Amino acid sequence: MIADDRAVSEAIGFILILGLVLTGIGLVTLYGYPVLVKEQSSTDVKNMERAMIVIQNDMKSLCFKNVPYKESTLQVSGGTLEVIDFSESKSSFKIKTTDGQRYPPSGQLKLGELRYRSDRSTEVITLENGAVITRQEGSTGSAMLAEPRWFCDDDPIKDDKTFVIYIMNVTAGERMAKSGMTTVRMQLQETNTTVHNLSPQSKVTVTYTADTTNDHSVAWKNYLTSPMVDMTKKASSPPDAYEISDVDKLVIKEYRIEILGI
Amino acid sequence: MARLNEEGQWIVLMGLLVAVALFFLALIVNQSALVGQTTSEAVLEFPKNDIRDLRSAIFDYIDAECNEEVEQDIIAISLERKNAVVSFSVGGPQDVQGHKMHPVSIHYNNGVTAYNETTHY
Repeated sequence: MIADDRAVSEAIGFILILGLVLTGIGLVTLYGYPVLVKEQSSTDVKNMERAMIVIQNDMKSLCFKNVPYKESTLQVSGGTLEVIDFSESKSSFKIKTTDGQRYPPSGQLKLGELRYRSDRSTEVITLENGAVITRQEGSTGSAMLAEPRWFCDDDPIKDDKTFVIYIMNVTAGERMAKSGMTTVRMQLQETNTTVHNLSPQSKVTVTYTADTTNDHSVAWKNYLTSPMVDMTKKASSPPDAYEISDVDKLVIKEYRIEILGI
Repeated sequence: MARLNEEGQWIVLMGLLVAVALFFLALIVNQSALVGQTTSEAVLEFPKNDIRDLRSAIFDYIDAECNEEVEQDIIAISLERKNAVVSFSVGGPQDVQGHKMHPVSIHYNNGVTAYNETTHY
């Protein structure tokens, strides 16, 4: 093909090509691999967010659809899923009315939770009181990925305002943690409905005490002050108190969900 | 060095094409992130049967001369079993096209679906 092959050295050509290949491998190891690992961990977290919403839907089936038992198999990758019994949880709720009713009658209402902690990133996803909440370890913010079903009903027929609060309590015989393929098995242990007929212009106050190591007060504030629930935050912090006025009827439904195993 | 056999080059080229195609497929798969499970829930869970049950219970209640305690029972059972706040009112009989009928207002709300109806029975 080329008649004149002078000054063309096979050795130099080989060294040049080898150099290019080695530089390529070096660049991929230095920059490409960390990007790949980061991508993997964010995929794991996304998958887990989805899995937590699946568990939340299972809990909703237990509570709202008269299903006694549910199980779902899911993949917990890049982190650990743990179940915390209500007696060990550090966050709590308290409900009070201006008529003097309290729920629970004494002390705080502890709820228990399911928590996923990522190994590689700082994300923590918690299923607490029927809400899926995400936050970054070490920062104060938190966001609700899936909301519980509290609501305020304005009845146009009798002109009544009914405030419905759903409490989903998680109990577990022992503290459980798992990584990898898991089957979350749960059953509805107990339901408790309390109806309070309140005097006109009554106010209902919900107080949320956050766990200082896993603070979800921002997520709960955004949810409770959203148009769906329509409460207003009282000037007290912490603990955060929220108030709703002109409630004629307060309904509190407490469900106790037992996690049999993960 | 020169005079290489160049007949197999298309295999390498196809390999490159397949790699590029796979890359784009992977991108698309990655995009299928969290699809609104909770939003679709609201559509899937329209409580048609609950509302029908409630209507038939209210019509039975009208047939049974509107007992006040039955009304309270309907409200309590709806709340306990169906997690729904319901309320209804039945007016005195009116003449509707030659029939004596009661005007009925029904209100139903389970937190996801709110339903209001005004009808005659």
